Amino acid sequence: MIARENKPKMIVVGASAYPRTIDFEKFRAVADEVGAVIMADIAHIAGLVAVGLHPSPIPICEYVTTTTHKTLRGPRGGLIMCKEPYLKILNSRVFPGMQGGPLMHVIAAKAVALKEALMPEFKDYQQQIIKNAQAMADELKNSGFRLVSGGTDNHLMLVDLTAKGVTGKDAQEALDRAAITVNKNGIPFDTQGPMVTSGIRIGTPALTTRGMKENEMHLIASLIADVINHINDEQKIQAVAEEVRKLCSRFPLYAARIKG
Amino acid sequence: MSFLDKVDPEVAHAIDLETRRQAGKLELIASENFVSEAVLEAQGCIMTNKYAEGYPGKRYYGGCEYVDIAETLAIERCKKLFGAEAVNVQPHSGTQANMAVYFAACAPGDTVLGMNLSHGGHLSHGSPANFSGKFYKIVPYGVNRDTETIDYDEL
Repeated sequence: MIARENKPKMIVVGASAYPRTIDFEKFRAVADEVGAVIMADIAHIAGLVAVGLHPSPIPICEYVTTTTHKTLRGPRGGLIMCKEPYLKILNSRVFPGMQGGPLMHVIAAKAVALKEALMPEFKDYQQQIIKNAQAMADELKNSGFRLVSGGTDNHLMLVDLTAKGVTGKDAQEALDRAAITVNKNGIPFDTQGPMVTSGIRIGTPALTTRGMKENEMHLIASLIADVINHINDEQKIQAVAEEVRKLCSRFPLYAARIKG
Repeated sequence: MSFLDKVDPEVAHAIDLETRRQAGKLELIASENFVSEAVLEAQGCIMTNKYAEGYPGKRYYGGCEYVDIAETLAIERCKKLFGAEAVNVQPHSGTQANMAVYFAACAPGDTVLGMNLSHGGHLSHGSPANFSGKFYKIVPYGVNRDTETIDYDEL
């Protein structure tokens, strides 16, 4: 309806806080009906798409963009995939259209990350991201939290804190004091503004890289519940921070880089 | 002592604190990850010194034969990984990648459908605060109030 009424030149598909599978075929049908091209932005789900754990837009969309540093686990940056006939004009829009010299050191690092993503272990990693998200979502629901759309199909979930009487901002700050890093995030039809919000967004790609699995997700979900259910109890929050320290020490990260 | 410790202890200290933060806290931001030492090594390499305007085999500067190897590897691996026909690996960020596509597919003032930021979209999908919302006529779509999933029927 929206598409037929507005006859868009382009439809942008993709999200930064959407916990469910995106049906690119449905967008394709709409785009074909009104003669629009599709830009699919798979920044969040690129790793899942790469190994076939999320439907791929690449065969059916004119342009597909992504960052390289989220589930794809490469250096901070972007890239674009397109159909062959679109490449010439696309290249000219990148350079000289809107950039000058490319960051060749970052491009070298993108090449390395893409090689890592072609290895069989990368599929295991992506599968574990989803398993961990499921485990986290289940435990949060068991602890009485409402998840937007009721759960997750991918690497992230949105927790609606409205019933807890806690804002996203306050939850983020309290969790930070407990050494748990999340971001406040608006939920659909949020009544709070974007600097306050009614929700938090939680994703599992980084902790999965550290080697954490379902057991650790259950523990972390219960720690999150402890903090949010006792948001004014600083002693409780410090007790959670101590649990987090113990957990982190079991899953070392960049150990050779830490001085002293 | 590293070169950085010697030359710039202030930045070295900030990096040390950030390393400890990443290792010592639970990172649950959905858009973040930890890259491998191999990725870090490549990103910290001397290719940062090289100007390579243009594309592999068609550069404006001389001396690009070795950075061409790196860019060609990135392109070919991306094609293989995703089954893509053609690839540009130069965008500095995701928003830059999106901007290049807007510039390729649309003229200023054209109508674009994008997912509402407050329903889970992204700034560069048409937020009024972003170039995408300023240069194009954005029509937002979103999620169904009951299911909280994309309202395909509304499209």
